Amino acid sequence: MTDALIALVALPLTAALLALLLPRIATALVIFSGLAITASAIALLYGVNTAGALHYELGGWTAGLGIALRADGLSAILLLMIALVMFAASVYASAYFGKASERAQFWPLWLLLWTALNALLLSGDLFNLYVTLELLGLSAVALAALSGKHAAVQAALRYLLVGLLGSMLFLVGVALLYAGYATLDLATLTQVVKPGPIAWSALTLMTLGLLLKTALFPLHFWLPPAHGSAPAPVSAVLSALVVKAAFYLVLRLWLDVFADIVTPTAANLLGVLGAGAVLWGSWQALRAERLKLLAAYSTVAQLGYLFLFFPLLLALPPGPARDVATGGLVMLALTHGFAKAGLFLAIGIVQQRSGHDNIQELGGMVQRLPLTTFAIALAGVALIGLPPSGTFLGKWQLISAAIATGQWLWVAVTAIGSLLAAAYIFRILGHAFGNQPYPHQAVAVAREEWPALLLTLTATLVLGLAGAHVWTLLENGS
Amino acid sequence: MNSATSLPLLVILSSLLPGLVIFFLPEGSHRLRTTLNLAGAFVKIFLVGVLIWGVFHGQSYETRWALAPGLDLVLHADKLSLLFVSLSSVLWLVTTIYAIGYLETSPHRSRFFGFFSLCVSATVGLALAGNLFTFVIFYELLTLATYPLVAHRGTPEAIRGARIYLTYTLSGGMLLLIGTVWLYAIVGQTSFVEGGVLSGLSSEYHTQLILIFALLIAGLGVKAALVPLHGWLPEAMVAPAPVSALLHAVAVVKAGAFGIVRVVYDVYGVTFASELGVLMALGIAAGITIVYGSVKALFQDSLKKRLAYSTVSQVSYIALGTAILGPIGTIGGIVHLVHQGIMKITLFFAAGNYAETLGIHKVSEMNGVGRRMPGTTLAFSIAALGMIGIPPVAGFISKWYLGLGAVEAGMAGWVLPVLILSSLLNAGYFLPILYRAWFRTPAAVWPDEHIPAARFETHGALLWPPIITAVLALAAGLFAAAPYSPLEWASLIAQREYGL
Amino acid sequence: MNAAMLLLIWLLPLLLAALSGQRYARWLTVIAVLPALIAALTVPIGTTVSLPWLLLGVELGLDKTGRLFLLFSSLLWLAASLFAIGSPKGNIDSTRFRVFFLLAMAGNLGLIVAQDMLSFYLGFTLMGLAAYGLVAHPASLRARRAARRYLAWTIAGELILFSAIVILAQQSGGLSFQMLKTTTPSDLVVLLLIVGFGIKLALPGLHLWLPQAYAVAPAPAVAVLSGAMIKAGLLGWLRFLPPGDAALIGWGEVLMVVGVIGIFFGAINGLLQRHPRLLLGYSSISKMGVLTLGIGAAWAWPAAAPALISALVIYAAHHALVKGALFLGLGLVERGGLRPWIWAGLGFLALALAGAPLTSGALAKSMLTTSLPDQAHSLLTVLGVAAFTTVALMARLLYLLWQQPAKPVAPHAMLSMLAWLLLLALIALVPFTQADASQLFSGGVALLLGLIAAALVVQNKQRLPELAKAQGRSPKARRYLRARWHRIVLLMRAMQTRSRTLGSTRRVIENSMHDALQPGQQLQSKKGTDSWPLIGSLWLGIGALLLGALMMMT
Repeated sequence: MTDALIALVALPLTAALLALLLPRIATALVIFSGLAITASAIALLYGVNTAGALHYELGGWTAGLGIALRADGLSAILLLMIALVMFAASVYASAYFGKASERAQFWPLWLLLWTALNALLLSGDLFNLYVTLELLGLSAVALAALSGKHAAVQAALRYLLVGLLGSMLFLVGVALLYAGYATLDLATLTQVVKPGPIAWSALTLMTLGLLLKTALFPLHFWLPPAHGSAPAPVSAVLSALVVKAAFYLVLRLWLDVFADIVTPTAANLLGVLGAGAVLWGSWQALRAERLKLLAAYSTVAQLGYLFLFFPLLLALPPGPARDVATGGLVMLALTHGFAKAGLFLAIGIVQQRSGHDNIQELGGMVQRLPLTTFAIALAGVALIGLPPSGTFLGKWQLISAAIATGQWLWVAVTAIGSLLAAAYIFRILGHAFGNQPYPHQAVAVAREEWPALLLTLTATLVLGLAGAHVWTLLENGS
Repeated sequence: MNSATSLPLLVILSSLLPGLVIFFLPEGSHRLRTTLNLAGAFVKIFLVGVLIWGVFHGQSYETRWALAPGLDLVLHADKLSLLFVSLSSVLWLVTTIYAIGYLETSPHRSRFFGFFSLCVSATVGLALAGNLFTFVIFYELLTLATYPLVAHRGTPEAIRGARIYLTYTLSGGMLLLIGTVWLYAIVGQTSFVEGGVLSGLSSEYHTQLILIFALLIAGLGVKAALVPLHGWLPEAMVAPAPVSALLHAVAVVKAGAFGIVRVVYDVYGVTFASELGVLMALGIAAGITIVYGSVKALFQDSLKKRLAYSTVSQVSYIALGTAILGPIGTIGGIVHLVHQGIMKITLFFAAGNYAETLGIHKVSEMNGVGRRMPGTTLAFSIAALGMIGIPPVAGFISKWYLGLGAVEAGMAGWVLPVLILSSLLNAGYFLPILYRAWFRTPAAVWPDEHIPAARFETHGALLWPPIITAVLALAAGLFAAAPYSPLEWASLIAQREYGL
Repeated sequence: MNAAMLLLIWLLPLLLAALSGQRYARWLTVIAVLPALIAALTVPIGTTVSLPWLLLGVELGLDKTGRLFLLFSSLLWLAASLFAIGSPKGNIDSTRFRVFFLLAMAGNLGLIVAQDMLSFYLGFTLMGLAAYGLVAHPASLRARRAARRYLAWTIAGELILFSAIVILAQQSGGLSFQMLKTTTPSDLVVLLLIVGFGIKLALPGLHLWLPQAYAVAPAPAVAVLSGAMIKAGLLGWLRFLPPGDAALIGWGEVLMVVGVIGIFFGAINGLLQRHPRLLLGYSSISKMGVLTLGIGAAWAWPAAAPALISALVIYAAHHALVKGALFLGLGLVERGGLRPWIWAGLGFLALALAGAPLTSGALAKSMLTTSLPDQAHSLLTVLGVAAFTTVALMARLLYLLWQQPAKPVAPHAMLSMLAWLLLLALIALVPFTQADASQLFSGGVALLLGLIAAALVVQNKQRLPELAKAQGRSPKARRYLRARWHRIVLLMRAMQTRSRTLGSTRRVIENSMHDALQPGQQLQSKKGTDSWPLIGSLWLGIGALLLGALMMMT
């Protein structure tokens, strides 16, 4: 099983290098390596599910010096999501980028991003995490600027600055910890960390850096322009995966490493910020004039839900109740990953065919592209949190935990957020039934439509109906 | 998987799968689509028949599928669910035939029939739901599946109507969700059990339980169109006639009412609900709705809107029956679930026929229509008389049991006047229509006549469905005491509920 | 076989209603009524049929009361059917009329054989609603209004009955009429039933639907409405509130008061009418008052109840046939104009209704009076006066017909005339098969007095210059005068006027000769007909005198 661990990092990295060297076969390379990575992710998941958390030291060096790879249920399941979303987006991108020159620029960066994502999830010590975070940020910025348009470059630059700031904050925190405890290995840190100024300030700094990267309200200002102006497959991955990676780190830090020193007040603060994100993001999405902006603001809102879990998790005693709630959190993150990626891909099709993504003028186009519209609708179902999507189960756990711990505010926020989500989703879908004339012939390409459709189907049907496995996996893989 | 665990699922799939296939059919393949639709409908009726046979012979059917820890998707066939399932599958067949005739030439037929099948699948799932969690899932799915049907025409009004519909139903769904989660937080996962599951809880929970009840009923009340949550119903009238028929008779409105029945009987338990005092509140809400809906209906000139307000009023009979403590009131409420469905679908079919054949949309245009379309008008008349509660049409049986139950429960003081007033108002808005249709001389030209006089007064696929359902409505009343009648069935359910 | 007949009674009209659009459907109405007639004659009393699967369990059966009801109802329906067939094409010979006619027939005959509350209610409702179609049949504004009013009252009645039945079913624990015999109904139920059936019986205050409905509906429809259907209210009381319960004693007294009011209310109003149909309608109200009085007596004196009920049913039968025949006769007049032989026939009917010796009226009335208990002798007085008012009404009717011969609109159809004559023959013959001589000769006094009074009054209709002046004033004043209560005020005033002129016998005779010689003059003179209210008031004056005389006699 450790082979799978290594493969998940090595495969995309090798492919990235090869793609740089051999741009002509890059597309085929990406598809094949994508298949291989997916297979590895599945293998890893299987391994974690049967044998529990995995640990592997690269080259045999012990923790502290060498690179240690580790995977538990949470990371394994996120890795599989990454693999699937990236693979689908790759298939999509192969049709989306019409020119060979575009593809030649795109594939190496794309694979690098994939490498960074996988490595981040597999890293077991803080320094490696910092490195992968930095790598992830840089490749993401490069991808976001890929279109070369003025707006895109501007947004990407802002993205870069924010990303660097976030990384710096994170790095300072790492340094503080190293100074205090002389170790960067997460597992070791978990045991030695004690409440005190070092731990508190380190946690604050690292969290702040990560919140910047994950674009939690009110630090989300950079996200909508960056996600809104990147090419569709890039937006998809940025929204679905990259911000999630930073969130994953926050989760790890708060729930594992610093579990003993986080206070309910701090968690409540995160919850309040999350609530702000839900309401503000949804409201902005409702007012957005462009489809991609709508989707980007929706990401801000959806991330907010994830942060609502923090005060709840801390209020629940460790044990089955908390595990069930954590499962709900993971479920939300997963569903959002699939759904948002599918949504951006679908929006990309609409945008490309009609030349714009102005919501008011899309009536005929969405009718021209029934499968794409269907994908948008499915993604919408998941974003609103209607059954049978995974979000429904996640929100159920969210509300359930909130009621169980008596925190009614989060129930209200979730309810209002969901209704706002419904409002902005059906703003788009309403167009699908109008009698507007079709603007011009638009033929959809299967390679573009199906990835979007399958991703959203995964979010709405597979995750919803097979959701129980997520919980068992988390339990088995801890 | 043996039949005991797969049959409930198969009942849902029998409409779901054809629906999914239909989505991908090209517009032109009329015959294949029709075949699929009808095949699905007949298979469903057959499967439901098997279910009924099995359940009446003591067989237990349950499909269980874990979605999350403590959250199982349970499809369970009991007598109450079968009552609703058989109603929806039979009416689905009739409505499908009608819709095929109705939409013969309109665009987007594949989309329409796809969602149509989804809608019925959701309804059947809702009927078979074995716990509140499953119920909520199908309740929301129903909302999703009906939205495209309401918006189907694509006109700005249709889109607006659909949006209003969605706003109401999703908000209601959210309340229902919160209420359900809250309930689960208190008692954990519970199945629907006759007699309820909550009566054992200590009294410290009672306040919470009352609040939960309010949330659940508010959530369900949106679909059941309890005043003041009924605002979407008249707006959703922009939908094509078969959709309105389905919405009012089987799917949406009925789903809300069915949910109320489930919550009161199989979650709270009617005795416990009565002890909590929530039953009285429900009854009063139902009473207000009954009168309000009828009064509003009086002032509508648009035929469909008049029928819509009539639905507002009539569906609350079910809630009223639920709120009456005692087996007889229960029978009245449950049996009206079926009776209202058959009668209302007839009315909507007829209204659709007038609109489609003669372009009549308003009551004031209906002068003498009985002479031009005797079959349709006869069906309409039977159903309308049933709505008023004239024997021997089915509506009378419901009214009779509601009245008798109210007297038995000592609630006659206000229930009987409500029933009488509602009947009077029903007479007030239905009889003038009948008078116009049968006794006034017809206009020289109909507003928009476009089916030339053929063998029948209109297309056969449009004419027979209302006639069939009208005959059913008559038969359900006339043979109410016969075995396997809806009444008999409702009595069995009530007996189980009260442990008789 | 007998059971099948009980089913066919209501099933056949229903089935035939479905066929009434066919080409040879004219005779359907006659065929439909035959099972009822045959059943009434052949099915033994005590036959029951139980159909537990129908509705909520239907019980049918024939008892003594039911049999007589069935007999007279089916005879009347038969006559009306035949009459209708003879009507000119296109008017009531239409599919729609036949459908409603058959439905009403099914309801009426069905409720007679019903032995449980719901079947009775079903028949009652079917009859009531189907009759709407008969009233609304003429396509006139007036018919529309009358029908709407009829429907409103009918629906109100149904709903009141529904409430009563629901409560009664709960109290008795079942639906069968058998169970009601041992159930003590609550006061609310009794009140609801009195009002509910009272609407059908047109009790004073609940009668508002009746006059206009009778005025507009086609003749055969009015015949069955006034003859057969109106009696359903009586049967309802008998079935739902069987006498013998102590709880009913107080209500019996109430009902007797209502009955007395009804008798005089109907009579006074009838005398004030100018239209023969309206007059007959009010006469029905008056007669229903007699029946109400009888039921009240039966409730109040349970010991006398069995005899009273038989008498009441006989009375109802007599009234049904005679009133039905009167309306059919009116129908003939309206269609083909007044012929002497029709007038004679109507005269005979009027005598019968007034209870002249040797007619069914005499039989019915004597049965009623003899079955009253001893305590009820004051009622005898009332009935005597009632008989007198009937005489007055009938005299007025014949006079009106004489005065206003309807313009012929169509030649007389043989079949209609035949139907009418057969009915007449039946009415003439029936008393001789049933009664003994003493019963047939009762009631002569009232008739005699009435006839004398009639002769007096008919002449004096033009003696009221002041009224003529009032009528000639502005339209507003005229409208004011037409207000019914105002007429009553006028009556009072007229009584004073009249008392001055009564003595002048010479002038009376003079005038009578004048009128007899120049009947046509009255037609041209609007004043002559308009002055009627005052003459009606005269009747009342005489009535009061007679009442006093009778009281002294007894």
